[in-house]
Amino acid sequence: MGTRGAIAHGVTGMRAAYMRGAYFFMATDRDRIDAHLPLRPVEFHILLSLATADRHGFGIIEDIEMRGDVAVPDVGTMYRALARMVESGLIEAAPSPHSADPRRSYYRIAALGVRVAKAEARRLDALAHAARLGGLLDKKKTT
Amino acid sequence: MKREWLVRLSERWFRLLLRLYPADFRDGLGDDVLDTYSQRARVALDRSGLTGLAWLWIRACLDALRNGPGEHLRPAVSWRRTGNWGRDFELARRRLLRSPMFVAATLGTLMVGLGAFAVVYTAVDKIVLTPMPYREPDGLYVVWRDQSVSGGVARDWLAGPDVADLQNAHGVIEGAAGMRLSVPALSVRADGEPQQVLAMLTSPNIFDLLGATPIIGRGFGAHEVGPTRPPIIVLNHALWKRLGSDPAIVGSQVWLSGAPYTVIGVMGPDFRFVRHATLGPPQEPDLYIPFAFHLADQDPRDPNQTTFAAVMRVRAGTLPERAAAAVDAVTRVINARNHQTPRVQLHAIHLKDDLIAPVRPTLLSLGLAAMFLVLVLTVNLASLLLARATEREREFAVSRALGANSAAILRAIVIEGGALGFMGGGLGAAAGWWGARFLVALAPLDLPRRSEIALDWRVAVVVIAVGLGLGVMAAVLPAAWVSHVSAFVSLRRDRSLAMLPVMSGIRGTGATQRWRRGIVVAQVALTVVLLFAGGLVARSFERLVASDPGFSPAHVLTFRVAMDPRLFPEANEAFAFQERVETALTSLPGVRGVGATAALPLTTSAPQNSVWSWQEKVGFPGAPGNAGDAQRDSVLVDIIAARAGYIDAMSMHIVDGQPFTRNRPDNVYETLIDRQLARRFFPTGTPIGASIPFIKGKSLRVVGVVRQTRLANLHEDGRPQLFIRAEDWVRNIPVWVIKTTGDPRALAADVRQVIRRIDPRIPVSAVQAMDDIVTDALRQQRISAVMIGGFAIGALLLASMGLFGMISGSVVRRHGELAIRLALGANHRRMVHLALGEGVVLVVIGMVLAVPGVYAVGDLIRGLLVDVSPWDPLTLSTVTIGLLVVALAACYLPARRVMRIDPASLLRQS
Repeated sequence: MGTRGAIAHGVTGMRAAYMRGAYFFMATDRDRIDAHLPLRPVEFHILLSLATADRHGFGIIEDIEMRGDVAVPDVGTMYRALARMVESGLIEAAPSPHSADPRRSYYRIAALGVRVAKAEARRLDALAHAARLGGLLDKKKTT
Repeated sequence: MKREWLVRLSERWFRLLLRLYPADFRDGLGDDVLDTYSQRARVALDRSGLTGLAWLWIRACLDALRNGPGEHLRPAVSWRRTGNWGRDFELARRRLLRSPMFVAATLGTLMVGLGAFAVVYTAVDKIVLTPMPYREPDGLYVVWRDQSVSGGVARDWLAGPDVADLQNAHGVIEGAAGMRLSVPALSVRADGEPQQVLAMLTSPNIFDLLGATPIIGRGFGAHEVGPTRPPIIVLNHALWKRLGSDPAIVGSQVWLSGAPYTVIGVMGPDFRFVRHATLGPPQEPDLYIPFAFHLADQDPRDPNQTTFAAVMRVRAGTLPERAAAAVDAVTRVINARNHQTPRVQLHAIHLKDDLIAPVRPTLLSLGLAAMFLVLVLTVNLASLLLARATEREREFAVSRALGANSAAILRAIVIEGGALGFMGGGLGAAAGWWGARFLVALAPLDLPRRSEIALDWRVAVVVIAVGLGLGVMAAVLPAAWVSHVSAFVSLRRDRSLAMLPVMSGIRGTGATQRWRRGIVVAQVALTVVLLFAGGLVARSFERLVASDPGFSPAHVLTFRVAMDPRLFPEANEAFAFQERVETALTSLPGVRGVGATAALPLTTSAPQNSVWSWQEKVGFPGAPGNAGDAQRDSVLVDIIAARAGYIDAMSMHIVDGQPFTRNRPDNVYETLIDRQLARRFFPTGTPIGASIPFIKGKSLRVVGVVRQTRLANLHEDGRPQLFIRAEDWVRNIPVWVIKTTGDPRALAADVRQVIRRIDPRIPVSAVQAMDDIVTDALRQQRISAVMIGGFAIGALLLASMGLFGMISGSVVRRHGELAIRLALGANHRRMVHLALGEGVVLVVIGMVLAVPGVYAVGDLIRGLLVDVSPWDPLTLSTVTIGLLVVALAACYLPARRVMRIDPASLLRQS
């Protein structure tokens, strides 16, 4: 192995340790979070969009569009998902910002939502990693 | 501005699509969804113009179609208002699982009723509704000669020149074809083993007339008929398959009764032409041969050549009246030509009507019976669901108090009924599939299109839909009623509130009881009608079975021996063969009698048997019954040639004189006449010794009088019969019968061996027990009796269950009242009668209401009955008494519970 390989190997090992540690700390919440996984793609995208800012329905759609290379969800599907996520506590209704139309309902991500989004991201990353090892995905270019 | 207008139009579209979502969703999120869509519409318009907007519209539509019903079935959240369809389905499922008995009773009811409906619907659909596989079948008619005026049948055969006149007719008649059946022996090789086939001799235009083309080869050309026609045949698909399905058979030679023929075509598997007959079932030929003569050259006066069936096609769009008028015109032409012989009358019947005419009464009665059964079952279903609704009155009252509205409760009940109905429909379709197979197995061989009767997916869909509808309907009516019951009245039934006057017992208010009583009365009425119909049909069948056909079929084996005339060129060779066969058969172990005949009873129809029927006009010169008019003193009779042993082998009844003597007397041609002839021509004195002029200048001497061996119908005599000795007249006798001591079928192999040893070139076919032939002849009546009887018994069971439930409910309901009466000094017996009385009154009302139904049904199934009047008093009384007995039993059993009422403990409780 060269230097690069050694560093990569070390990074992988550290990641594994970190994950184990993180899971230990999240043990009490683990069940609650695991109950929400795997997330539907729509839900994941919504959480992603709301992670950066409070948005309303159309704003979420715009944000998803901007991310590019993804299929924009239909409005009906999205609002059903929004309702579902509000009920399960991943997101919550937020007051609309001053500059915006007060009739529009805005959404904000909840703490549980943040954790669930992160857990889902990690799950997807682990899968992608396995896919790379298996040769289904191109190896990431290490920069 | 155009843009704004487009955006507003889009908003209208999105608002419309929103209606697909449930109301709760719309209330909560509808505005947001609309808002988002409008913004997207603006963006789409800006970015991609009209195409982008149109694309958004389509996507929105698909989105709503997917998510709207999705939200109905699996709502994203549980909203505060009750009544999502998804939840209701889940609740209904749980409720049904908690009451397995109710579910079983309902599903059982539906399965039986819908299964019966499915079977009968299939039969009617396939036989009556499905169009025949010919080109424009509405234009096809079968033409018959009506002989009913002179005592013959209404659908009798035509003479050759009659058919020729039909063919030459112009006007609306486009074309006609004649047909006649024959039974040659087919061999594929010149020296090969021959097999009996059914051949149809026909006019060459038969295939064009019916609109059928052979799948291999060709049909007949218009000129290929007459004495100079080439020896060509066309095979039926079934025969082609039996011969090996070889396409190369077209162009090759086969031998029919020793003569070579060329196969020029093979018909497709869908082509199925059955020649119908008044006497006997339709026959499907194995091959088609063009006539070797011209129809116009046939002698119209010879009854033995008057055996043509005719099919004609009229121009498209011709009304039946015009077709009938055209046939009348041809009739006039015929009568003008034959001005010496009695007038003929032709009439035409639609091809399909002709085919189903004999089974129409059966189908009709089956349909009626099935309809009745379905009615009884619907009523039963309603009763079941009403009882259930009543039980849950309390529950509904509570949920109403908690805020559920009538619509929600109604919806819950309808979903339950609909789910049960749907499942019942599925089970009914399955039962119907099995039942259709059962029907085909039971059905007479002559049931038209028997092979096509099978449940297909269309009928299954109809059955499931009917089940769903029935379930919903039977749930809605009681549910709609129950949902009006006010909470106050329901809660009053609580014991703790007993200080308020108790108006209703546990099983419901007075109104519910009226419904239940009405249902029971309806059930009883329907059951009476159905039982009556069943009783009539059963009695008719019993009469049929008990009727004496003129011979005894027990222990009799029959088989065909085809004596090919080419093998017996001399008469004495043929007769010697007959003697050898008789001797050999007599020497078989277990054989008590041997005979032979040219016309076996009840088999003028079976495809392998002889269609040879010999008729002559005979007279009895010098008989006391003669009127002096040559026309009236001669009568058309069936000539039956039989060997001497036939009388004994078939155990025929000798009424007067004696049978054929064993040793043929010289110069005396013995004959036996039947009772009809004896009565008509010898009302006084005896016919024995009378002389009858016969063919070839010879005379017959009457030696005895016998009862007819019924050739066509089991229960009534046909044409008068005259028996002549086969040894005198018929060289090539086709049918042999042997009477055995044990099971006749056991000798089947021995019989074949015997014939093979005498002459291996002679084929033996149609080996069957006479019992089986008689059983087969009864099939149509048997199937009616079985099915209607089954339906009737089912209805009786259901009515009894309804009565049982009602009385037991009534007993529980009147617990308090009965206890008080007992405490005041009445005895238990009187209480039982009191409880019984309610049920008996209902039964009597039901029976009275059934009287008009009984009249109507009697009229309708008259055509199905044999020897039984539609208002047969024996049947009527049996049904009445039987129903009363069963009903009383059904009422008495729960009423006995009254005996166990202990007034003291009850009064202590309340």
